[in-house]
Amino acid sequence: MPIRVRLNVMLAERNVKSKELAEYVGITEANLSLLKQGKVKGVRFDTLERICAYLKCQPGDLLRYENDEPA
Amino acid sequence: MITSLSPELSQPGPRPKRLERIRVVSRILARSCMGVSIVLAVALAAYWMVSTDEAILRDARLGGIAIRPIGWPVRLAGLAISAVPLACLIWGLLQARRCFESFAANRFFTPENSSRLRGLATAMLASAVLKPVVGAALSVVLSWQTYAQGKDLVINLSSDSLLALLFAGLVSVTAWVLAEANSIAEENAQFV
Repeated sequence: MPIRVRLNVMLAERNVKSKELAEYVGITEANLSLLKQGKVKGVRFDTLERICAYLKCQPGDLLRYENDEPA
Repeated sequence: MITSLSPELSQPGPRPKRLERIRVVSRILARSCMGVSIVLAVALAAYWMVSTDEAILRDARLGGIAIRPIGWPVRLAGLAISAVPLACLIWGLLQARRCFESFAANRFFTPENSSRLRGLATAMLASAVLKPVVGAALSVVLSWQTYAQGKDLVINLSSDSLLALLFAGLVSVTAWVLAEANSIAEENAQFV
């Protein structure tokens, strides 16, 4: 899928641990890990809102569209 | 690759009252299905054992004057024939029971439940289709040695059978809807 999740990058830039973010958002570390790896079908708006609130970023900072297919 | 999520956000929020109501009613209905199955089987056996000849002939829609009493071989044959649609119905009730037990255990949108509902629909359909056939077979068996004029064939199509067919269709479509709901629930479970 051409949508890449950049949560790992944002966590590293903000020096935030997955555990802290998972606790704040209200999801398990396991689910946060799946989200980081892009192994989920979707993200709920309220989850996105809480991640953005904690990391003080925009949704666009967390997600990138990268079209790998040749033109 | 999509992986299954742990359940905290992958399930809808708690609706305790409604869920508890579903659990309680499902438990009652599961027991009722079992109870009704036993009662139906016992009642059918009792009917063929203790009913009077007149009552049996009247229920089989056989008129005329019987010259011989209905003997035990005929009663046993009648029991065996009329047990066929009942066996289908009881199998369907047992499917419904397992479905209700699953609901009582908070398992709603599972492939097993939709397949059990389909089983119930099939059983109801088979029972409704077999009913007139069994009625005709019973009329022949009962009139074989009982009547002086020979064999009678009675074919009886009742509104009950037609309603049972419609109900079987309804349950069948509900099973498909449940299968569709199951795939939606599975997809929903992939959201964080």
